[in-house]
Amino acid sequence: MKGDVVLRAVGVTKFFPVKTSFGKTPMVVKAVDGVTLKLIEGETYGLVGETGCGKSTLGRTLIKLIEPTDGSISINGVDVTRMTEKEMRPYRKTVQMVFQDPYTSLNPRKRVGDALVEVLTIHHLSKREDRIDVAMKILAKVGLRPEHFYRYPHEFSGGQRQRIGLARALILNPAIVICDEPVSALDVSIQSQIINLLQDLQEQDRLTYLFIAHDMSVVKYISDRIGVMYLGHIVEEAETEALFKNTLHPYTQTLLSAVPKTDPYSTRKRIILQGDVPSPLNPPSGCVFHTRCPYAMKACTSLIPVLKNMGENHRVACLRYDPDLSTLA
Amino acid sequence: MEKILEVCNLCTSFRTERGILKAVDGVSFDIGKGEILGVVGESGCGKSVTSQSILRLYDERKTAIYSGQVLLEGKNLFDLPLKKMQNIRGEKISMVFQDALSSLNPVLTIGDQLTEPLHIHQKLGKKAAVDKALDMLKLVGISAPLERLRQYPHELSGGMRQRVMIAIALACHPKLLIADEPTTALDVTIQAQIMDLIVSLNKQLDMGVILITHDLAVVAQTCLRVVVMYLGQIVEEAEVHELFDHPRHPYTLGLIRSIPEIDGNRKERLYMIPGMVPLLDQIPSGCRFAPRCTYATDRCRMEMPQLVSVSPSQRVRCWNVGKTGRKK
Repeated sequence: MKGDVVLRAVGVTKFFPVKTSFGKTPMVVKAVDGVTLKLIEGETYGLVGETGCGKSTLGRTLIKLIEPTDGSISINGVDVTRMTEKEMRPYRKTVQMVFQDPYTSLNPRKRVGDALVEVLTIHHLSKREDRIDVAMKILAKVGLRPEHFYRYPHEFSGGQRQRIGLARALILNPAIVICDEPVSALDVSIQSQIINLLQDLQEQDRLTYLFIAHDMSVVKYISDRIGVMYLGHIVEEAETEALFKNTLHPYTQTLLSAVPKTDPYSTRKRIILQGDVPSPLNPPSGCVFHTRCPYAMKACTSLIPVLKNMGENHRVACLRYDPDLSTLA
Repeated sequence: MEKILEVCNLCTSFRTERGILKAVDGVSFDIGKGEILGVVGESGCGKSVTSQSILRLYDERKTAIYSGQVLLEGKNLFDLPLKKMQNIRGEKISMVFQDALSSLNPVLTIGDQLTEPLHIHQKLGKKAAVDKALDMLKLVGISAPLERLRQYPHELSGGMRQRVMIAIALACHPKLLIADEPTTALDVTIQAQIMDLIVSLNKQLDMGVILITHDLAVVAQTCLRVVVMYLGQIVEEAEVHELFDHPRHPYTLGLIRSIPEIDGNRKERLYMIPGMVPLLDQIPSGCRFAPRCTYATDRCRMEMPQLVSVSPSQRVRCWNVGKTGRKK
């Protein structure tokens, strides 16, 4: 491993209460259920999973846009879990976020430049007269021109807006950027421009990315390590090469095989998963994947698998890899 | 192969505040019985407008101006009175849209929406229509079909809704199904299910399918022939193997190279097509792709190239054909 751990999450859990009629037991949506992960300086950690698996909630919980129900989060070794908004503010500079939808995440009534300068004002950074210069510099850094400073968000295309979102995050010189599906709303030709930009910036500033996406091929391209989420749990985590060469969890296997290839000659047999993701309101007992798993055993319905290290930081949560239990089948 | 639909020199323009904008400019292609044709391109290239123009879905009394021909089994749809189009839509040609939630009626049950085309087109009675609806739901692989008939769209998952849309589209056994980004809003695992379903129904019912998508990988896995569009024009048409082995148009080449491959090399930098798609009121003169093209010459910037055949099944719109191809 190359650097220090910059962000560590232990057993992070987020339950959302759901309103029910009087007299009924209150229900909760288990969006994120006991996730433990760490981000290492300078790496890109890819977080993949289907819609509703909790990957965005996890991303937002990590920077405390959403208060976690349980667990702890520490940034650069400092526990920020129970900090108030005010105490948290210095750490907001360290961790910034880029959102999925470049159309709704920018204020339509603010000029791009003003939106960037505002960030500096809030954090009392640089002298007042220098702030415009700083904002101009950051625009250039993400590949926009100085005249864009005076324009409104609606004057930009999707790719340019995503660049603005990135500029707003980077103007604070963060160490960690959480990218929540930054390219899924973009066309392929623009997508590759943004991905290359993200990588250039990472090299220049030694940024750490948490890259949330549902597109396996993009995640593979950009990430050093990948975590696969399903129904609020991380079911497999490994370095990119290892995950693709030696895919262990049945869910990861199906997810990879479902990705269509840009090769018309490909004749590989695809595993097609039956049914949909179960509701997080009422997740299955035992292993959450057992309802759709092609290898489900009897034990899977009752025992909850824990992440087990299979060597070389390859962790998987599946009973099939549990030496004591795999014989039970 | 017997042709069921021929599109000849289709142009669709819209009256807007910025003047008349041509969204589709001289598009011609045909589709055979039981064939799956892929139409690919980025947002704003006119692929959806093409498909909706085939069914004349835009209001031609107010906003849209059509020209050219759309021949369904030899009959030009643009010659029909608007009222007669009702007999074509849903019966001969039907369509599946991208966003199933906003395309289904939220206040009608699945059963109501599924039996409606059967009442209108096939004049079935209530009982017969419900029986047929049940068959359709089984055909598209929906569990507990009897219960689903009484449910509303919001009670179903995304994949399930898309299946219902397909069931409605297929209820009257159309000759042609137009699927406009049917899997774009879905997860990969569900996308694989839906694409599998479309391919198997295409074989089973021997109907033609026009698959509109921006995802080249989906095309590679399902289609036989592909049309690539850019700014309202076809820039390349080829059989799928030809297209991926020898993309002749620089735009096609760029698209293919922009996609990170799932088993590709991570160290290699991703290919980028420079710039972005221009707006419809700023269409460049000459070749429309010239401002973003790395091979562009002065001729490209002045003169518009025509779509020419380079092999029996491949047509390309480029002045530099032969200088740009790549081998795998």
